[in-house]
Amino acid sequence: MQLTHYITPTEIVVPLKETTKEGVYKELVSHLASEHHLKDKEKLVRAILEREESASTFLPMGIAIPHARIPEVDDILVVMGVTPHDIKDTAKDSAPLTANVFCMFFSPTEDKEFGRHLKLLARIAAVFSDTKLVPELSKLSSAEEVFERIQIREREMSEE
Amino acid sequence: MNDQMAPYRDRTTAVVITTAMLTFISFWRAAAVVLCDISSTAYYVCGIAEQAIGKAAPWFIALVMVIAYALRTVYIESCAMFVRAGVYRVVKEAMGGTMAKLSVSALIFDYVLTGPISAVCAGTYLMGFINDILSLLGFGAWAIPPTSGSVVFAIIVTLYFWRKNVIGIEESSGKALRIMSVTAAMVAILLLWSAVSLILDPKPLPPITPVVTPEAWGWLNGIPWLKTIGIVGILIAIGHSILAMSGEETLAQVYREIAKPKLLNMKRAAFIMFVFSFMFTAVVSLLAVMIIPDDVRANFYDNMIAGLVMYLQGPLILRLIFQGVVVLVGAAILSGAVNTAIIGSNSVLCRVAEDGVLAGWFRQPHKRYGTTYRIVTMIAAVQILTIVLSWGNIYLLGEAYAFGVIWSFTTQTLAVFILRFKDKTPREYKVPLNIKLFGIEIPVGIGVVFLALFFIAVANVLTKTVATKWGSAFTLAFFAILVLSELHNKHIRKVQADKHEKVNLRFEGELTPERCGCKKKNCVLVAVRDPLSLYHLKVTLGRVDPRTTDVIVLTIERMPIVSLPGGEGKVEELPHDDQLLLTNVVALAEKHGTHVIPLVVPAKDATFAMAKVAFELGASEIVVGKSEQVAPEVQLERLAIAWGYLAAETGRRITVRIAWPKHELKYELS
Repeated sequence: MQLTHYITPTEIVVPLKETTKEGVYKELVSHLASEHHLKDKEKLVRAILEREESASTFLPMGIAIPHARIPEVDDILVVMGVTPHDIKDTAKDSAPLTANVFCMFFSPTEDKEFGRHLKLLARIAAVFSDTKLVPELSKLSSAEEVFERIQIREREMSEE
Repeated sequence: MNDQMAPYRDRTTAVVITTAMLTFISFWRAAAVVLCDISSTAYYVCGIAEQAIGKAAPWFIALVMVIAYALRTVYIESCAMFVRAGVYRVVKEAMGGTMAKLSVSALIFDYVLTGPISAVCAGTYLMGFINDILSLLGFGAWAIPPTSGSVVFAIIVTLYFWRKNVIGIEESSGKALRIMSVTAAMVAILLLWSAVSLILDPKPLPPITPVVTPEAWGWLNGIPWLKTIGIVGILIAIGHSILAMSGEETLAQVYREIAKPKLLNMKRAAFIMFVFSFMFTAVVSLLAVMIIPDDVRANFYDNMIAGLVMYLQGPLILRLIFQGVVVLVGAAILSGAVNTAIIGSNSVLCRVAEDGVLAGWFRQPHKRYGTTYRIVTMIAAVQILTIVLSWGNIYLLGEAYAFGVIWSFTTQTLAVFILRFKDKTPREYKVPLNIKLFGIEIPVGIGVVFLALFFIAVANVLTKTVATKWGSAFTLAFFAILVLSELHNKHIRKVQADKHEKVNLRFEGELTPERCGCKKKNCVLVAVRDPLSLYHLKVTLGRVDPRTTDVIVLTIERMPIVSLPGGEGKVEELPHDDQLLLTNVVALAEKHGTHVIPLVVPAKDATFAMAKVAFELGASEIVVGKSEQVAPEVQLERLAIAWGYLAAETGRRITVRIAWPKHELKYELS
């Protein structure tokens, strides 16, 4: 599984306008909804926040992977956002982590799709296990550059 | 952007829990350990029984072997109920602490004498053989005084097995298996050679009616009319042959160490024990009485099998060589019985100590070997004292020894009978012969075994005067010690019994399969946290094949672990909750007979630590229970992220299972 099979430059927002976690989630949902003609944006944001409430998806590598399983989608839909600002995780009980890269996705609720859902999570974590990647991406100014850098990283991984 | 990854780059440190109690043995090894106890009696039981009841002794020894097999079914039922199902636990459950302490005291009397009688008997065989050889070579004047020689030999053997038991049971059970393999070969040759001898020179079967000597009537000598009742004579005859039946308690103690599938393996071990002990103890005794001429047999009462060999058909040189084999095997198997006595008494006293009756000091594991060396040392010391005080008198030791055997078996059987009514939980195994009357199940089988044992025990009390005097005195004295010790414990500690598993800790600065003790092809990591929620561990232990898979039981400790001086320490250095968790983990591992390697890893992020340990140990599977905080799907997501991060450069895959009652989620992560 490759992360770049699930995104194109049009699904990458660089730089993010919002500077709070909730603001970023709304911005990304809005972008994804317009790209994929999804109707109920409020419901999508609610699904993401509910999932975040049960356990934060901020990771120490400087990324967050907000995600949710919803019946409105038939396939996994990914949207990515990059910002030079450190966005703080506001969840209570969570470690004080910050993120510069947001890799949001929605996946179908069917049980048979959950395996792919988990593999995508693992793949995102694997791509960003290179700790140089987030600082590099946060300095980039276009979606194409971000997409290309992730492609390079995935190519390196498959060569290894 | 600060370095948020810094804590995740730390080396994984761990505390490895090491304990001999987590090692499991095959049913062959289990049978061998117990057979060293049971079969060793073949070397002296016939001589002692014939002195009391005449030539009919082998028939009664055979009957005792059958009773022993029936009793074994009672032990199987109790072991299936409680993994640590010795007399103490079962009697306590059924009849309370006082009866349990009395039963244990009688049993310890048995163990204290099993070692000395076996060791002295081995010495007697060996001294006899050495003196025969010296005499044959013309050095008769150099003959070793048999009694002193056997006493010295007995002390050396006891000290040897004391040392072996301090090192650990795994090595000891291996030795028992080797001893029994050689013994089996010797018995096969002996039976075959005896059969050929009987074909060449047929002899009549011994009479079946016992001729009880006046001494063997004991205190019943004063009641002449009793001698006219046949059943009384039969009970007394069985009573004088009962020392052929020991080792059942050892089987119960060894049960906790029998490998998976536990109950089936116990039944296998029990059957092997029956076949072997019947052929060796009963059939060889019968052959000895048939083949050794009546007028010389009394000379061989202390070494009957050696005598049997000397009266087989064939050249003298062959008989002498085989006598040498018999003596060497005898020395080994009787020495093995010394080992079994130490193992058995150690296990029994461990249970008593766990219950707060004996001070926790006794259960403190050896710093290096993890064994309860203080109990082992205490038992060995009492055995050596017994050897010295009795000065190698086999008849005296044998007569006294049966007291503990019969009373502990009787109380155990009564306890299992009572538990049928008191504890209605479904049994994995039941002694056969159960009849339903008006909706109530009557355990006829256990009842018959109990009555048989009870009447034999009463007959023994009335006829074995030496055994009754010494046995009662020892039992009451030991009982008093246990009661006083328990009172003292309660007084000084004012706490509940210390039932936590006593184990050793070893600090590892770096985690590798070798340092954790992983030896199998596969490795499954089971993460545990709540001592009362171990369903997922139970399911895993029931599923994995311990021959091919190591089971790592991982606990994540959020608090930093106090550094252990010299890299080693005791269980008390773990937080109290972890001690309870570990105790329950060990109990489950014992129940399934599956070896586990408990690890405690300090970490702030439990999910990441779990994945990291699995990665570093090359585990093929992670098993976790259902979290109370988050949904199982979220648990899986967290693990997927952690695994993805760790395995990014290797592409390694792992299976993750989340198991809780009636549910299981299973996914492969890569």
